[in-house]
Amino acid sequence: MSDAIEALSLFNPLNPKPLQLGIWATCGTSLFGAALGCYVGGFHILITAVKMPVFFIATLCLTFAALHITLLLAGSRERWSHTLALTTVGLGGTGIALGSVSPALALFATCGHVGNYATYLAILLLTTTACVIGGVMGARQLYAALGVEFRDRSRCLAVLGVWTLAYQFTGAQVIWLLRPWIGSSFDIEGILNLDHALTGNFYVAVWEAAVNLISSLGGVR
Amino acid sequence: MTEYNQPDPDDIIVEPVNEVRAMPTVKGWMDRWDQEAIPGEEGERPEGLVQRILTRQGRIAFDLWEGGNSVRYLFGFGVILLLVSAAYGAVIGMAAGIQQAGYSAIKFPIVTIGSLLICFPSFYVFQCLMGARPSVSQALNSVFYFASSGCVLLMGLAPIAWFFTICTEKGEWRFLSILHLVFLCIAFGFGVSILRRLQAYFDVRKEQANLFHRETLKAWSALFVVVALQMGWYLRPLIVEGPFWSGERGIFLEFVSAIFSR
Repeated sequence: MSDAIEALSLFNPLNPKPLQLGIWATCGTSLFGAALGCYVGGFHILITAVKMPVFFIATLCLTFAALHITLLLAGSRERWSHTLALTTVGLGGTGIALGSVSPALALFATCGHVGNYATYLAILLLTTTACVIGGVMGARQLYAALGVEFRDRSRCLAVLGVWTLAYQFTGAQVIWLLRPWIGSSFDIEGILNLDHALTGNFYVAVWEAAVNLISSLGGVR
Repeated sequence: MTEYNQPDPDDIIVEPVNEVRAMPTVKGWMDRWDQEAIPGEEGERPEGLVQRILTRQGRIAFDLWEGGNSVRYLFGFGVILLLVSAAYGAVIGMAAGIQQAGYSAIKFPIVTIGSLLICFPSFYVFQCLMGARPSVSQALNSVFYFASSGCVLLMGLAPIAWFFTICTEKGEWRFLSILHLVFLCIAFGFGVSILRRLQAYFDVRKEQANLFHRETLKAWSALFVVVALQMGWYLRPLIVEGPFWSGERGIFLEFVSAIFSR
């Protein structure tokens, strides 16, 4: 417990400790992934525990260039290592927040009926809520760190907004590729549990779902 | 008046082309540009042009005004434009395979640099007709600065575009087209903001420099967009599988109808 409190005290915007924050973020997100995998259980727990930090790291790698350029354009004169330190502040906050709600999520995931649609929707809702809370926590930490960098509220908000938009836009696609998260993949061959073979587009899928929904509503009338 | 009824040069009053408006952020970024315009200390490692575009825009503005190193700047901007356009073109074409990636890597720089060269005469002429007084070198460097700064931003967005390109199925060219257009709009918007800041900076710091006319910049930006879209459409295909150049004529508005048709 004292280590967790010490981790929270790592969020000193004057002196962020990227390596420690990164380790805590990885542990927190792994715990969250493992809790999610408890719905199916077995080997799925380990698989999801690995996929969750991979999702965060992969999204960071893809968006890092855009994040660094945004920071430079906002007036920072620091190197890319400083940008990396700032991103770990944000992701560290998110990771630790997610790790802290993982016991509650594991409880619901373990108790629910496997294959029951209502249980699946409940877990989906819990997961989404936890991710939103984790994201807000991470954003607060990042805003504090940016405040030390720029001391100008509007510029901090602008950088935070751009970073959040870029990360979320790309992250939605990464998380789509790494599915399934809540469902089982025991019928699918291959240890990586990626039954859709890393293809597909999240935004196209959402658009098609919306079109189908509207079409079906029109058919009901 | 002189003997030949010609106006005395001392009597000519140069009217400012732009009314200086109070800009709430003028102090922040203009002060930063003033600081950036100061040359680096002796022995300090010279930064690259990409770094200078991102972190020392004031230095570029200062050199643009003074006319120093104009040929070097033009060369540097051109190299950035060529390389980044080729790389982003390859990303665009990757949706249809390696061959199309190669074709688009050749064609996309033609779209960007070609559009710039087509629109440059109108930029210079319109500015002069509206009362601005840029030199040819200043005007050319400014438009290339506009395009290369947009390309620098595109460098940051390229990994995201590449990721979406490789994992989106081949038939979903509509989504990828819209994605690339959005990214190009973001890059274009940044380039336009650079031009507008140049105009505002010179008007305030150089006391009505009359380097650019504000409204003409807006109109020229719109012209550039239209020319670039048409050039991209004429040099198709860029994103779908096909020959190096289809040779078909058409207006870029056909692209809009293609997006929404089944």
